[in-house]
Amino acid sequence: MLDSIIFWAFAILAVGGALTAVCSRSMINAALSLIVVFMSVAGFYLLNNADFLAIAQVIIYVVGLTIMMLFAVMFTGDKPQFDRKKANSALSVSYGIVALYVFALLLRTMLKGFGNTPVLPVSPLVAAPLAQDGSTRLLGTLLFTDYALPFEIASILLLAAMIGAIVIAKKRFNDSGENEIGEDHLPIDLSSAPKEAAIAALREHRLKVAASSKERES
Amino acid sequence: MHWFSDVNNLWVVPFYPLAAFILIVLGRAFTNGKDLFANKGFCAFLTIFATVLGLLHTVFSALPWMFHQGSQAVIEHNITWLQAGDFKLSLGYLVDSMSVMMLFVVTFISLFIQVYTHGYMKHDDGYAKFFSYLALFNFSMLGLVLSTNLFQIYIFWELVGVSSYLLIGFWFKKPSAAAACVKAFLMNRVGDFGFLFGILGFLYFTWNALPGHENVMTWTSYLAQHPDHALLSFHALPAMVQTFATQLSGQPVLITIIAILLFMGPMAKSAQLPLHTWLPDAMEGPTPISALIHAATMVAAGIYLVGRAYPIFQLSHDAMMFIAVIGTATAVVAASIALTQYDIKKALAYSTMSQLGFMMAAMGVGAFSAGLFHLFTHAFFKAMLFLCSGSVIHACEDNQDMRLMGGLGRKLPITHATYLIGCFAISGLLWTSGFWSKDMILAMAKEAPGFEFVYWSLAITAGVTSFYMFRTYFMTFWGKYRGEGHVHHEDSWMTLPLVVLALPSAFIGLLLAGLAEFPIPNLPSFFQFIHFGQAHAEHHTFVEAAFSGVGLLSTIFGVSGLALAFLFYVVAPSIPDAIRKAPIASSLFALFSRKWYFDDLYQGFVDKVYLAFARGSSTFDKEGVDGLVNLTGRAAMGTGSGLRQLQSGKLQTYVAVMFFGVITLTLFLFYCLMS
Amino acid sequence: MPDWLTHIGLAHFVVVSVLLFVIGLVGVLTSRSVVRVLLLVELMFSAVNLNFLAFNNYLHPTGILLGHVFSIFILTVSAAEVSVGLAIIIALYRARATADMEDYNLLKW
Repeated sequence: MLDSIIFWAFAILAVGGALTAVCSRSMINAALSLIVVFMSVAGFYLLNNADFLAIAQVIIYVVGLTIMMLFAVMFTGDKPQFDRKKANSALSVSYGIVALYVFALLLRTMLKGFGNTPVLPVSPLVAAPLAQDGSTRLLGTLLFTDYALPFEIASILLLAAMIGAIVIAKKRFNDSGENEIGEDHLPIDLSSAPKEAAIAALREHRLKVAASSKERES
Repeated sequence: MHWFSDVNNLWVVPFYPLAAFILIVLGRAFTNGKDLFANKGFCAFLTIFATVLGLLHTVFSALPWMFHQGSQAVIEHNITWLQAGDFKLSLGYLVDSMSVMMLFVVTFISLFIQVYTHGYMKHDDGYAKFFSYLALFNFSMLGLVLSTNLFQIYIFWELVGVSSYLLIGFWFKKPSAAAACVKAFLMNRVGDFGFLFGILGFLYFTWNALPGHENVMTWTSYLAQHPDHALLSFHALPAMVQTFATQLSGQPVLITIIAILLFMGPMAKSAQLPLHTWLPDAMEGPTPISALIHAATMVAAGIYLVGRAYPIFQLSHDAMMFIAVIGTATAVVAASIALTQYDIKKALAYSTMSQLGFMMAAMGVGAFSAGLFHLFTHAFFKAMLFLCSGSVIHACEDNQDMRLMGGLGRKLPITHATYLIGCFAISGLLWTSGFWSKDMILAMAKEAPGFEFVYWSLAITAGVTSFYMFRTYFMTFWGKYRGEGHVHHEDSWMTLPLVVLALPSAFIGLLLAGLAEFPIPNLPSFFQFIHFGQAHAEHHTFVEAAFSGVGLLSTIFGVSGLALAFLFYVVAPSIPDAIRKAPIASSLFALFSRKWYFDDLYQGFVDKVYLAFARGSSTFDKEGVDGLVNLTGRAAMGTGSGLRQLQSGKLQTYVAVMFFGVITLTLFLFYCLMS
Repeated sequence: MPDWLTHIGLAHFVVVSVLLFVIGLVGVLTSRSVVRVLLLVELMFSAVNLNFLAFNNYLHPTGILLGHVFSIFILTVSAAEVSVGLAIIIALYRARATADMEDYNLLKW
């Protein structure tokens, strides 16, 4: 009984959070609601005896990922006129249909071989060895013996991703030492200026950058 | 001299004028018409020399050979031109009595016409070009005459047509001349189209044995037996015609159709009735070529072909009747039109057409040798008549209208005398050559069963011929000069050929008739000379024909024609005007002078039917066919621009499509594997 | 109370995972902000992880942790991918001064 209550609570939280992430106008709200989703998913992992992975999920997604997203939101600006396409009902309807289709297909496929409403043979919280020791030791053993190669490759992948991210996001300077795009030369020092002036300067700066980039395009 | 008297070297004869042609053309091209080739005499010399060589060759080799061997002797040599399996086209030379006769006519007459041309075209800028064209024509005509098979004769047939085109359109800056040469060529093409179909039809039914007639001789078996003979050679025709008849014994209509198709070539080339309108217009060319081509030689090529392919025509009585009817109709219609012409060259052109009708009618009736004999004599006197008219035109400063001539008899004596001889010849009076040949035709027409209408029509036409020829004579040479200006004297270069040609015109008939009646031993008579292939026996000798019913009747008609002409144009010149205005006669006059409305008919056909069809097919081509091609282009473009919309540049679209596709594919495979 | 409410089985987890996946997918396809797209891709990854673990639990409740291993790797790769994605977003923003997906259409025909 308890597990079903927990399950339903987490389910509602997860789905609600996902919907909020999709539908909210503000990016900050989206990022924050995804925290809720990731936490619920971690809860689901726990319900499935995946304790290590639950913690891993919390650390990586909830903490790391969400902070990165928030950083991105702050970098690109949280412009409220984003999102919600205007009046493209045909596209929305088609996307709705696509969603329905995928949902139905995946569901049917995955459950087909397993009867209509399968019931777990053993209640998850009662599964003996795993419930007692936890999955960490077992998982660690597996990772360092049978799956050592993929593990090493994954670590190289992470290295490559790090280097790649640095290279792609690097600022580029031209020969005279100026930043190529000139973005960092703000007219005022943000930390010491009063709030309204700072906001005004920032807005003006943004407009100027947008104008110059459009000019460069055309 | 040994070279000239060897009959086996006769194949060189066409190549003499060809060499002259090439020399003149290349010479003028490389020297830009200067130096040697600017000297008009040189170009004339080249051509005339080539013709003289040809004449010498004929006279010294062919004639003696013919007299020695008799009229049935044949020499034929072929070289293979192209071969594809069993099918073989050959070129070669065929020497028999018919080709020797034509060789003699062509070389003799063209020699004297070339001499005449020097006098006529002396002041013309295109003199050298003219002689080169004359050489080309000579080559084509001689090649035609020496052809061994239907393919070769077709080749030279076309070449002769081209030479005619070049010569008619010689003064191409004149719009009427340019139109005339195109008209001649196109009309001949129409005839050649039918001719080609006739050849192919004949070949088709003799090439392979059709089911049911396995043991006939086909060309493949004939050529296997005689490998040095040509496909469709004239020599093989008597044998192959049997095959042709047997294979088509169930459908005699096809035989008639193929024969009539074959006849379409001669119909155009010899200006027979439906395809005749080019001949009067061809008078736009200079008079020497009117004489050479459109009187003596080229138009005779049609008669020659009918003679060569005679076994095919003889198979079908309907085809022979068709030929006879066409020939008679041509003779009658042309004579009626000639009555109304005021241009002397046009009058002579229509008289040529009429005489060609006589010849063709003779062929149709079965009087093969009579037709050829008339061809022979007609060549001489018609060429002479045209040359006389050229002399007259030259003297009157290029005026061709007879109403502005008159009284030229005193001023141009030699021309006068020779023209008079020519008129007697063409009217068949005074036992000149024309009498003998024309009467042979009339006699045989009278004898042939079922062809009596031919006899009566031709006899009356002979009388009409006499009338209109003497009309031209009286209008030109008698009375007072009605034109303006000065009448020049005769050019001596021009009068020499006239005199030379007058002799055969007058006497050749008598000579050959005499030889027939009083044969000199070892010198076979002219009958035997052109007896080639003739199936019927000819009962009449010349003398019988001269004084019996046919000859007498034709003499009476001729004399009455002369008398009427004398009456109308010398004694009482007001009579023709009065007749013209009389009610029925005026409509008849309109009919005749409008050339029986053939030209109007053809023009209307071209304008309304042919051009409309051409415009329609042009529209179909531009809109339909091109439209279809453009449609494929536009379809490709349309498809492209439609499909292009997929590339929206938006990442999410790509993601959606990719996702959709991969999921569907995977699930599809999954289901396949599961089941 | 119906059985499916009280007895939680594999189906429930699968349904939730698929639902989360589809929500993430629709969001990716329709959102205009590039950061949101990246965010929702991460959501899709989480949903997939959930799926693996649910099946692993159902099939091998005792000891064979193949699903966990797979999930670990998915986690790793997604983290790497999101960092690179973020770098790309930064570079894009620097070049175009816009984070609107509609503006990234240079590959349009």
